[in-house]
Amino acid sequence: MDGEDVRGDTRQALSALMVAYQGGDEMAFERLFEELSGPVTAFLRSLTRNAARADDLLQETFFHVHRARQTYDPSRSAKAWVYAIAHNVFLMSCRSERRRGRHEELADDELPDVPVPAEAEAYATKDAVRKALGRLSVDRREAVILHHVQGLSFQEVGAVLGITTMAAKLRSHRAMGELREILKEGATP
Amino acid sequence: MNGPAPLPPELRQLVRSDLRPVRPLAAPARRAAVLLVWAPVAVTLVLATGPARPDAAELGWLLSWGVVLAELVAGAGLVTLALGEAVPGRGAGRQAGLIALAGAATLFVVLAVLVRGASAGVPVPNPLLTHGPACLTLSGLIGLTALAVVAVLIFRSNPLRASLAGLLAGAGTGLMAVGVYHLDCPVTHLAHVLVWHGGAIALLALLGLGFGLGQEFIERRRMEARLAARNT
Repeated sequence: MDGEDVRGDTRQALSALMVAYQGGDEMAFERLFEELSGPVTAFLRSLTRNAARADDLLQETFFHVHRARQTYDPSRSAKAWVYAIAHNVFLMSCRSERRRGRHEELADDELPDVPVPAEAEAYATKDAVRKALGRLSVDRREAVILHHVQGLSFQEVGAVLGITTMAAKLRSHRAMGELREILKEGATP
Repeated sequence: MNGPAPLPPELRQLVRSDLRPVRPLAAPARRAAVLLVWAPVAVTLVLATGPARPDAAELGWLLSWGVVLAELVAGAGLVTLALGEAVPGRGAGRQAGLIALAGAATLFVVLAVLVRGASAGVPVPNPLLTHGPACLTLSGLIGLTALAVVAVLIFRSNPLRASLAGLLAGAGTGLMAVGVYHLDCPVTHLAHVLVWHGGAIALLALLGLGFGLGQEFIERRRMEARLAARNT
């Protein structure tokens, strides 16, 4: 079984869980949480760069998942649907922090363990890539994480970010280019 | 990649307390089809309550009913985009929304110019002032009924960008209302149409935007309260 098949199976399994959950199955919700809480936390940590805040936003994301469960269309990707909610929860929290004049982003050496694109690890250590990721704009960071780390297709990335598939591809490509540049700069003595 | 987090007890409690089965929402275009019922009712009411425009024969089918249809279809398109924005992962995005709004505005202006070219309409002493407030009020009221229906559809979903959804819904229903009102208003002077009919569209768009911004504000405040409660 190749990677594409596994991804297809996972998609179908998540979709089946969502359908069962829409039908009122509590166990399906728990399984969904079990399947997605890890990757969604990782996604939120990459954005917030703050583990405690990411954990709060994870709960908030699933609160919205529950409230909006009727909006999930079984013919579409459940993962993209949940990430779209997480993305919005993150934006809402940013607006809220801006309004209150509070923004907590940890120093590089205190960063939570966030996943990094495997391709970038060819250029530097995981730690250096993690720090370099933090220097990307949130828009670009999101595109890289969603595609290169979370394995979403560009179509799904576009759906999560509310942009076209082509724009998602372009954003991710530019972000990887920028990441490589940052890593090269860092490697130059 | 992080491992699965334990399910927080309060989340489990929330899910348990409200686990009624739900039916997935229909696609945005199908939900926008509700307006297929609204449009004939609005047209019938406009034709029943006021005299039909006297220059209908001069305009011909294309510039009378054709304009109505074009504005109804374009307005319904904007409403479909708004309903898409109300579903996570389904929205066309801010850029596509703004392009659609610009397209609708262009269509409105082009149709106004074409109608003016075909008919001088009923001459009025001061086209910018005569009939203007009445047109704004009537077309605004017609649009308000459609906006109320669409607002319910939007807020029953989970709009991620409620302000954009509201703006598109307001502009879409405004364009539909102005389309219907085209059967009644005999003034074709561009200043009148652009300022007062266009004003009704702008007003409804602003109203929709206001609703959306209000919704976003309320959601944000609720989220802040939940986060604060969790962290105390």
